[in-house]
Amino acid sequence: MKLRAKFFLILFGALLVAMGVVLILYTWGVVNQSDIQQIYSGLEKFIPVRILHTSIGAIMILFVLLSLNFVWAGMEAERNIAFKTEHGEVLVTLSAIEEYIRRFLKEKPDIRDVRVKVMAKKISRKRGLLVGVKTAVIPEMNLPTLTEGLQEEVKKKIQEMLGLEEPVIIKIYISKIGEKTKKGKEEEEEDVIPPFREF
Amino acid sequence: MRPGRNEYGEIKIHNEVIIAIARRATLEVEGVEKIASGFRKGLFSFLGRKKFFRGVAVEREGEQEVRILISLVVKFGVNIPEVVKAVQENVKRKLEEITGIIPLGVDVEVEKISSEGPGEVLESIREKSKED
Repeated sequence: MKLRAKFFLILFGALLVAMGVVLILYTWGVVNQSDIQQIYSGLEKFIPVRILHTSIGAIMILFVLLSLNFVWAGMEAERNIAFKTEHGEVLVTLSAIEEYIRRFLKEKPDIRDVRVKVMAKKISRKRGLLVGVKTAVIPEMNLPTLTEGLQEEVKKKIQEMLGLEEPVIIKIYISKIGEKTKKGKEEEEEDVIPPFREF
Repeated sequence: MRPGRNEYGEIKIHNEVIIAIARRATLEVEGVEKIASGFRKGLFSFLGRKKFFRGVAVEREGEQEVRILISLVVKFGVNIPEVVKAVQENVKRKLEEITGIIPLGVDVEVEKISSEGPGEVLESIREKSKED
């Protein structure tokens, strides 16, 4: 965080805390209306009330925008995986990795309705990826063999794609056993040789 | 000739020129589909450093010292570190050749994988090899 941004955040924070304290004291009768009016009249000698109110309003709006910016930046950072090269920093969005895995798995005839969620997580003290794959499979599949194969392939693909040896954990969730894929049916139909085809 | 003062006067290069060169150099690299819109970063950019981010941005740290930020979409099936490295090298080389500026760094963000299917990528590679 930049020094200037830090300064403004502390200033806005202090202002809000002061306003909060005055409100609480006013509610409990420690400070009454005449005290506040006295403060106002004191301040009016230096700055007109209208300008004072406008400034406080503007500061509050700025504070909200700055806070939103920091929250947004934090969310963005969580949705990226970063590494450095000799020429600069490289960021790969997790949504790009999700899309890559989803499209890679879409090509597989044994599975369908694939949903992928990738999260950046610390795995054994190193920053790694947690990949969740939710899918439906066609009947007559050996699930342990299929899932193990998928885990291996997805892990290999991620490491190939990112060129990183970062730890990757793949969780596969079989949501249902679906019907045979359209692709499979078409292939079966193609295998049947129609009679008199040669003529 | 580098930007700055010389015996005839002063040379200044606008950020838009650097952006245009970086954009072209990025698109020249095999595996890059397009420059990303950078819309998400633009949402709150008026409060941060990355002003008016439209896929390529320049951060100035002096007349000669610049840092380039590029957000891009890569083709499906490519090796991302290889493509990114090629982008960084090409942008650096082109900027130095054309403007004399050696960027402090070229930061790249891979925002998306292109919508082009693997079959189409293979097809384009085949076509290219035929042409060669």
